[in-house]
Amino acid sequence: MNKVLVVDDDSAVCNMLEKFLTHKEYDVISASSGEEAIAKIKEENPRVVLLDIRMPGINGVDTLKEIRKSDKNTKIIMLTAVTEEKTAVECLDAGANDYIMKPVDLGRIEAVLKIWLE
Amino acid sequence: MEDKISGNQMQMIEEIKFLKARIRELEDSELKHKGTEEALLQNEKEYRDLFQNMPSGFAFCKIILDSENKPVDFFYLDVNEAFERITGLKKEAVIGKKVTEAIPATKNAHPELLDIYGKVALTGEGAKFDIYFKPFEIWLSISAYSPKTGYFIVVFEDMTTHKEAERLLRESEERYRSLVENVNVGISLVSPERKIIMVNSAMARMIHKPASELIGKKCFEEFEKRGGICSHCPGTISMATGKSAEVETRGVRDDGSSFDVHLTTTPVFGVEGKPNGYIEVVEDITERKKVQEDIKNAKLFTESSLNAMQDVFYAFDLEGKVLLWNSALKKETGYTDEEISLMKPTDFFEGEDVQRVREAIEKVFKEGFAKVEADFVTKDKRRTPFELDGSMLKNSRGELIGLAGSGRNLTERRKIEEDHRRLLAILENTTDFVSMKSPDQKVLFLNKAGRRMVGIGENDDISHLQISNMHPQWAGDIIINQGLPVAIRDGVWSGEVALRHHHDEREIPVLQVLIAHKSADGKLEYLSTIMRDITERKKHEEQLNDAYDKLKQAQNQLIQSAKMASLGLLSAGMAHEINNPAFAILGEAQMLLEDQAQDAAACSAAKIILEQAHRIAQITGRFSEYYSRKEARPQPVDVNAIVEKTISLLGYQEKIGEVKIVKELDVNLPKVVGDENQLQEVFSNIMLNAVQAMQGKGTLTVKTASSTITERVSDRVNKDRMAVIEIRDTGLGMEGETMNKLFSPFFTTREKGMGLGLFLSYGIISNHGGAIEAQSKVGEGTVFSIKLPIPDKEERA
Repeated sequence: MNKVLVVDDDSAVCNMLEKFLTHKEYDVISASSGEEAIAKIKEENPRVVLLDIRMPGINGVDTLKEIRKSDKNTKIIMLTAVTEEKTAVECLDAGANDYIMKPVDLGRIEAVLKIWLE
Repeated sequence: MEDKISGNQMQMIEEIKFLKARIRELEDSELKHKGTEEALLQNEKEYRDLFQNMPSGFAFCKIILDSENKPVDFFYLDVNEAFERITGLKKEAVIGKKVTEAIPATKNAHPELLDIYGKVALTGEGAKFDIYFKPFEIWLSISAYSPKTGYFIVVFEDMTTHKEAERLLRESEERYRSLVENVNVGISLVSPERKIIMVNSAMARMIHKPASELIGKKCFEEFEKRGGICSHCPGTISMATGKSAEVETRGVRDDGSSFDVHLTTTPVFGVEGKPNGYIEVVEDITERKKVQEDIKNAKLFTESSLNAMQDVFYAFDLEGKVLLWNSALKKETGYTDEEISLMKPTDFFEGEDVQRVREAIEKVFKEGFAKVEADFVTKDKRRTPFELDGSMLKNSRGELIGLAGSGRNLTERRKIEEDHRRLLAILENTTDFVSMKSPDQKVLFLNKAGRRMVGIGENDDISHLQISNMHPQWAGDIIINQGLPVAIRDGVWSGEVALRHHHDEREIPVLQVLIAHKSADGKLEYLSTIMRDITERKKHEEQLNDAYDKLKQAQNQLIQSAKMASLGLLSAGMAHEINNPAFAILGEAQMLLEDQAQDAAACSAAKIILEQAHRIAQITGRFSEYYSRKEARPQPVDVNAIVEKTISLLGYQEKIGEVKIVKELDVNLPKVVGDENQLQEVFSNIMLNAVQAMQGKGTLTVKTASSTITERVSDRVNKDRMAVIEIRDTGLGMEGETMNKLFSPFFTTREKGMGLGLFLSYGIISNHGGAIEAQSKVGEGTVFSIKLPIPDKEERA
């Protein structure tokens, strides 16, 4: 099963992605914060995580680092706004597998997911 | 006189008494012995002898009366020899004759004689009188008596000689009295009891009291207001010794005023040959005393004046013997009066001065005056510089008798001269223009610096210099209309004016201080002025102003960039916040479009939503370019090439119309480090704006060049070489308000356009370490200047 974890504090974005990916027959779970994401990864063990960088509480980068402390396998794709591209690039060094800049065509998300789920 | 005359008269009276007694005797005997002819004859003989031998003239006469018993004539019955002698008439011509016959003139000349004789003859009363008998022009002393009624005897004496002596004596006495009265010395006769017997008018005048009030009074009371005989009275001496004596004393008048007198007394001898009072001759010597006092005062005055002099004074005779000197000479030389009196003029000097002084003295004797500077050698061998002068000294007859002169100590003056020289040296060596002018603006002095400043030679004439040829017109106006009145009123004025160079007419900016020197009574004596060349200061001021402008500009740029940065940050933050909803809309719309593929209306709406969501994404995307510089790949780039490329792309714009494009590219422009695409975007933005502003007509000039910008930041000098790209249009130009917002985001004057072009261009150039600025004028056009740093050689390498 292609389990995907969507992590975004913005519920509109989170819901939209959940709906889209569900529609595309992914097994979608979601989290609205870094802490929740870390817990869900341990519970659900998703294959791919779409992780928003900018979040209240533990932000995306710290969450990534926390995950990578124990989990090197889960594919983590950073979701970032255009203004944070530099941060996104840094994330690659911190163990992220890819990044996607919001807003983005949904087709591109599907394409990126396909790559990392193969 | 009375006494002297009385000697003869007494004798005569005695004779007449004697005769009277004899006549009475005769009458008595006649009565007793009537008819005794013998006795009578004897008596008559005796009587006749007596008459004949009498020294006095004698005449026995009988009066002749008229019918009214009035004497009219008389007969001479007898006369003696003395009668003949005195009258010069012979007995024969007289005896038995009437007087009218013997001396016919008598009746007319002396009619009173008949009356006197008639009275004597008729009454028997004797008469005695003196008469100047005109017919004979002689004085007669006459005694007449009557021996018998109707008869009379005249005994007379010639008194002419005596009378003459008496007249002479009287005249002499008159002269003496007049002399005593009129002489200008006071004369008084004083008794041994000191009673004033006589005073002359001079004495009365002296004591301010009439002579009548003085006579009989005590001399010591009247003349000296004393209570007793004056102890100094020379009269006492005169009376004791019988000789003259004198004294000087002081007379005192009733009103208390006094006068100095010289008193001489001469004794007056009485009958016994003993002094019987004295004559006092009083001379008023007040004037003489005053003159003496004046002379004394004058001498004292001269001496004290000489001694009061600061200058030394000396006078010496032809032999060089010092005659007169003042205390200053003693003070200056240290010698005593005794020492000076033994010295010669040249003794006060030594060395060359001796000869110089000697020559000066000779010159005085030859020409009348001389002056010499020489050092006095003091007693303790110190030398003091002196200026000495001398003039001829002459006596009252105008004969040269020596030299008189004075000397001034030059120590002070030398010091003042030295100070003066020092001050002048300061004036001459100061770098300021210093000049002195008379009230009529004539230049009296101009120092070296002043001459140098305006190009006047050291020996050039300065008297013609005036405000008008020293200063440019505008400066002259300030000095005349403002400087001079203020200086004259307040004493000093200062202001910034300018001098005009004498040769090249160049203006020299100066700070002028004008000082009006006034006398104690406020009269303008002269003006002095000090001018400092402030060319350098002016230059520094300009530099300072430039620096200030630059600083201001930099500050503005800083503010601008800070503004731009915060605006960018704000915009980026907003863009980020918009991103999530935009992403949600985009995703939902996309899914909607797929879901509702069969519903045309829904599809259409979903498409619109999708499109607009994309637009939002585009906007936020552009902000990312501004900040993230994701695509920036800095490398050496050829600015000219980028410009060329941009221009070539511009050609495809339909709005280019008839716009002419001029390129002025610096072929030697070094490469800059930057991102070609970004720079192209910037140039493109600006050029497109320019083309639009020209509305299809005009000239677009693109120029590249390199320039060096020097900046002084504290002690560090920053020299930056910059590539300058200038894009100039001849378009509409922009107003100030538009200019102010030019680089702000979302500011646009066009209907279509996001208003981000220049905002992003600004960001790009800033990120390149460069600067972008615009200048514009409405109706003329706009110039954009882009500066990009040219890296150092090693940096490039």
